[in-house]
Amino acid sequence: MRDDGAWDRDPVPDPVLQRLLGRVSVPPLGEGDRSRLEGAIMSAVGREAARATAPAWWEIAARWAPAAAAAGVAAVLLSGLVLFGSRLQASADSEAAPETAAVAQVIDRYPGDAVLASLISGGDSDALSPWREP
Amino acid sequence: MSSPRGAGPRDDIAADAALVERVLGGDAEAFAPLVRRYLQPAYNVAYRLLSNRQDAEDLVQEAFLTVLANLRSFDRSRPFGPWFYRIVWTRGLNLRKSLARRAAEPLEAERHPGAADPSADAERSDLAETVLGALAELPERQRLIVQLFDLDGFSGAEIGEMLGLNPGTVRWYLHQGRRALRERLAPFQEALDEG
Repeated sequence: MRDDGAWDRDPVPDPVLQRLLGRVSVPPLGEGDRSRLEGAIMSAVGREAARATAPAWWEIAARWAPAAAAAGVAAVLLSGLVLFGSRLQASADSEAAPETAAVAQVIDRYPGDAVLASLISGGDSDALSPWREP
Repeated sequence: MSSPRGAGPRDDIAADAALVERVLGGDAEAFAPLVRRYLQPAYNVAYRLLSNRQDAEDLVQEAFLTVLANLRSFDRSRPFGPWFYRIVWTRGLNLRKSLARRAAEPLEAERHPGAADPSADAERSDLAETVLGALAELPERQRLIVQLFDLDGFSGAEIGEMLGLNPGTVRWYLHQGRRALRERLAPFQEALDEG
């Protein structure tokens, strides 16, 4: 067993110490264990690789992004149109409402006037109806 | 074992870098030669740290998968081995903590297959027990460094990189550990020289 003391390079291996330590040290891996462990590691590596190459949800999403964007724009336009149409209708109704109220007042004032009612209702305005005294 | 005594030669570095390149390019099979090359030394490190075969195998497997996941961070101009052993070492320390193992646990006294049974020969049994006792008495860092250097063939630089020490400090611990072992085992030197 030799002395060692130089710190700038590794000491030479000590064969006596190696033999002594070798008596109580576990030989790391036998051939069978080695190939079994190697196989287990490579199977796990294969699984990891398969998982890594399978498309992730964001990759699938990215693939459909242009179509989704176009559909989104179309939906926005359509809802805009629907909204605009319904507002137009609402304003038309609100404009028509006072007229309807006024007509109702006139009809209420002359409840037996069939000609007036006929004229106002707009139906068959030219048709003659029998005259009745109020 | 890959690169015993010193960092691997340049062509090893280039060969490993080429394999890493292929793995990064999607060729998972290119990982197999790296596993073959570094399995044994990685297992040695894991076993020295955990003193249990199954735990050591689990650690090695986990370390290879960690390497695979972090391969992009590997500097391909440097040797693969020390980088990998460092991963084994740090994950081993974590595993050991989680297993609540103590460094002072009795060493697992297993034998080389094919070697004489220590119990069959009183003198040899004495020797085995004394060696185990001497090793167990060493501070853990000295014990690990002596085993990694004298038994597993790692260089001071490799051990230093693994443990986060500079090579001079590793050599100092090695010197201390060897000296303590030599003192304890001196009575057996003659028997060894004869046998």
